[in-house]
Amino acid sequence: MKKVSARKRRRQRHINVRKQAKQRNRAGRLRNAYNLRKHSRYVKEEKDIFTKRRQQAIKKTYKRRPYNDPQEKVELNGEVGLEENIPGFLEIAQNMVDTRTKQLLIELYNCEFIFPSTIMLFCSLSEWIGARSQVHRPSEIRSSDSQSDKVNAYLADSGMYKFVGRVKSESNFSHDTEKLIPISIAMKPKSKTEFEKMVELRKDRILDLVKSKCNLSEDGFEYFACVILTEIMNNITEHGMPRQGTGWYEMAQYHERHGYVSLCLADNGIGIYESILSGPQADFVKHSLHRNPSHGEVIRFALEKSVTGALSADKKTGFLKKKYSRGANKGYGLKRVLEQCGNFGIELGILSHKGYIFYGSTGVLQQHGSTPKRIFAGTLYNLKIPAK
Amino acid sequence: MNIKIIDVGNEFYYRLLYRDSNQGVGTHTAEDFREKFLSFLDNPMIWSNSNPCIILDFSNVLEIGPSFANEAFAYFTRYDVSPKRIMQKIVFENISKVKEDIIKRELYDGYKRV
Repeated sequence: MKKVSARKRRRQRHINVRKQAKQRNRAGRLRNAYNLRKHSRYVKEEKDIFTKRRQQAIKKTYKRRPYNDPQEKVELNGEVGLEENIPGFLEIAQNMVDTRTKQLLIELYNCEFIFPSTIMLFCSLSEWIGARSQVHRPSEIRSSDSQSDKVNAYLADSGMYKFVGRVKSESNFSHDTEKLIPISIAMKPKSKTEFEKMVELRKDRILDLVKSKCNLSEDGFEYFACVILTEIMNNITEHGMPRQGTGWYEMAQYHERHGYVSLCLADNGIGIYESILSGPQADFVKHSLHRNPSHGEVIRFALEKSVTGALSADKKTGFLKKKYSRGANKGYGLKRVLEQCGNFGIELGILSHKGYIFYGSTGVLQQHGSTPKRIFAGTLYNLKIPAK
Repeated sequence: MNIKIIDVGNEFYYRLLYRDSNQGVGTHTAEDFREKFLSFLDNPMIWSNSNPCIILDFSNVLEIGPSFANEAFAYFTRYDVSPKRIMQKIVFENISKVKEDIIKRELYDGYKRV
């Protein structure tokens, strides 16, 4: 056996002692960090983590990208809208929202009828591309006129031309203003009082239309105002990001022929999927579904299990079985909306970036899923309220 | 103990919609309401009996949202207080069937540990 000199043995002992000291220090730091996280005094630090995660999600979603692909054309034929043709609408939306073309041409020549959901899609698309394409080389969206005067007039009367900054072409046709609430584009007022008045005015317009045209009882109307409209407007005003307007918009149309009022409310936020997975309840969702849930799965889970993406949301705690402490679970908003829609025969559809979910008039789930490309730049709530 | 009567619609606001300053417009929130009128109930000793403490008059309230009801009233279930006890201490007057149902649903769901 080779003899190891005393000097080398002393050196090795010294290295081992230093190594053990490093390991003890590291264990102490990890223990300290765990205790800091556990202790309620440091909840503020945890909230900062979620705020940072949310900001990263916003940055990632709205990162400016080059729009260099050659010109693309999307044709809209016949009746176009989520209200009557869900698969057709999803296909058109996928071809439009995630495009990286420098010029998108929307061909409306053979379009016979446009529903409010399509108008919302156009408006959100214009905001989306404006926010994401590069400042020095912005992408362009153009649309052709339809051969139907009615469609051209609707595009103007619905507020879409004003929203995207296009001049209204002359038309002999105009829509009944009692049956239509156009999209409005308004900058967010500086004072909170003025903003409150603006929100109330827009809400009252919707309530007046629903009261005059819809087949809801007195109690039904009160549930609609207090629960359905309030909770959805709370969501879109909270998650909308002010850019060219307030970051959220609404539109409603009474369709006499189809027998319902189509109400669309939307925001331009990061979507339900990103909101929840960057919030305090992300771990619960990933633990319950799987590590990489799809957009559709997360939206369905959020509605059925009352999960929220709010940064102030509480987490489940417990040793054997995790539960919310009393008074802590706050994510019931959309669940309440869904229950009341089912009670009053209102169909509900939600599109959020790459996910979608649709409930029938009885509140039963009809379809949900995810698409490979974005179908809406933000979150869109579409309600079909039965008319008188 | 003197029972306070609060005309919610006039003394606070006629639309009770937002949970906190992050939601919606962020004005007239449930947190503001609780701080202004219900802060004395943020004490576990108060809940030891079922004597009414405060009467909330809803005659001038147009709307109440579930988020507001949850943050303003279901908040007190953290003291392990049943919804029945909360409704005994906080008396709701001149309130419609729908608004009462909205508040009750939030109390019962807030009390559940799910």
